[in-house]
Amino acid sequence: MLAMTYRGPYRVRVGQKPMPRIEHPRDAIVRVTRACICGSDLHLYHGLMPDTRVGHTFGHEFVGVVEEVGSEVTRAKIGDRVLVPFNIFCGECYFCQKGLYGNCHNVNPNATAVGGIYGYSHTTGGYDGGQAQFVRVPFADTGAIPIPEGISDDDAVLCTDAYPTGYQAAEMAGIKRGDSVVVFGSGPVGLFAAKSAWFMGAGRVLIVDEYDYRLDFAKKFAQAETLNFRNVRDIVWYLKRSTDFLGFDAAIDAVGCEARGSAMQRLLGIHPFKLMGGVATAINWSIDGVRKGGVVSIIGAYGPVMNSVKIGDAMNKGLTIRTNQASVRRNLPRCFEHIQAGHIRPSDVITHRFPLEEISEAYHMMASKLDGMIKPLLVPSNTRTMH
Amino acid sequence: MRTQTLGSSSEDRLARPVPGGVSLDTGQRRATDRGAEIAGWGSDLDPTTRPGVPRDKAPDIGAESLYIDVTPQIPPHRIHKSTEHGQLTPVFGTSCPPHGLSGRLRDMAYRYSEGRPIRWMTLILADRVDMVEGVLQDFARLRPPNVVREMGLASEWRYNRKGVVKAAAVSALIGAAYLLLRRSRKR
Repeated sequence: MLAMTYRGPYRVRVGQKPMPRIEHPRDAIVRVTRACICGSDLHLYHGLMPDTRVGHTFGHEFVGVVEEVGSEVTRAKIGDRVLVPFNIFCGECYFCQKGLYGNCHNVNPNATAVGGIYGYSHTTGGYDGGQAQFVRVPFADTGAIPIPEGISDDDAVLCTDAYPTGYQAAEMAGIKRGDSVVVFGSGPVGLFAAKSAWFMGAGRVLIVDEYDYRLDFAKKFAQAETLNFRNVRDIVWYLKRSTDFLGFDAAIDAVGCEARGSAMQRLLGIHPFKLMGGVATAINWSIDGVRKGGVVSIIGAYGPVMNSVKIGDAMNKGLTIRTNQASVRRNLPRCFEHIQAGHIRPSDVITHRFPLEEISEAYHMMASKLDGMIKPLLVPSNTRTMH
Repeated sequence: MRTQTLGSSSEDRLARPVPGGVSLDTGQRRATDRGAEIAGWGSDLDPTTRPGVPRDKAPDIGAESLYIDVTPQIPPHRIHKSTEHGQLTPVFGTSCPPHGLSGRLRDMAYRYSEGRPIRWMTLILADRVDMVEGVLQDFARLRPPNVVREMGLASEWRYNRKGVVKAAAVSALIGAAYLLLRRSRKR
């Protein structure tokens, strides 16, 4: 089958790989019909995530059709049109019972600090991802979710990660009626977080980024105020001033480990040194930008090494810091309801479509923010099936 | 728009109006309703409609289900296990078996717990060694990597031609300056 393969930092290609097979009786094989490149795939693409092996297939946002099921699969059926949350989870363990599907303890032998994720290095379990024609889906009865009638594949693929992740970011911010919320990052997750902040009753939402084209999009998509931090000398002062020196009630970090805005952090965390788990600039701006007793919600992805975070300010201000990988399965029913009620159309963030064969260009364009890209969609040429 | 005028080193900035206004007072907060302008506004205002509330859906369960009792997957090759796991997880990924020098480095890294920086730094080193091994493998198969294509640089030319020309001009200038410097030193 055709699949994207990683060759080293900034280098990916499409090549032939063996078909995935049922390796456990609860597995299924899914034929991919839509896949996306996520902003967090860029951390792998840039070689920032430890144990990213040459030959690995990325992709944790995909939907498709069930092609084959293992002997212990009871609910998923061949031919089902399914979306696959980016978390791999058993649905039964200590953490899954708590609803923390992103923290499942039974799917990632390589690390305990993170659960299993498709196509996201061996630090998250060593599973090949969905930027391919076919993919193995473990624990298919819980991990392959039928797409409800009336929800398109394009909307569904955004429900595998970006939309429920943005929703959870807003939820973790503990938003109350009239709250002011600042969202760092106007990529898809930041956009969905801003949209969801309105669902939760925010009175004001400000999105911060450095790309004007993204901020223009955010203004239209999320009806939010926007700020290009390059246009102000001191972002923290700006945030305080624009809230009458109170500070925002909540801040959401939807940027993660490749944030810009601090040369020192980038020097130590990305190039040339990789001494930290990326750049903590968005976290630090969040800590300084919220009011005392406020909430910082971190949904951006960081590496497993230590970060330079202003924890002293967080402590002195009595902040609540909420974090986690999104628990997609838990959020999905409510996310579907918002789509069906017409509150949101996730596929509006898709700006580009590529055949799988052009994945190298898609990665480069996304990483370099070319041609006004927000979200690229990959469409594998899967006219044939396994049977 | 109010401005601050005293005791600030950012006085010039403070005098400029900031769009977005000020924080709401108590009455304004309580009366906030943007439903007319924003589709779905306030539909999840009630925390009970939020799927993540409460965060812990089973606060009283014990540790007996940390590892579930299912048929274990059979490892087709060496699977690295974190020292912080009590056992190999029943299911795991099998992409990219460890191999060569990078595989040896990975074996070493997995001897340390996730709390030790040496584990992660060794894995990053293994990744770079793996990259070199990948290039050598490509050459051994008589299929040298097409780096320009793998890096997707055609899109740079298509969408950022001005930037490419500028970068090429700067590189040419630096190259020419270097050559001139070398030549003048030889003399």
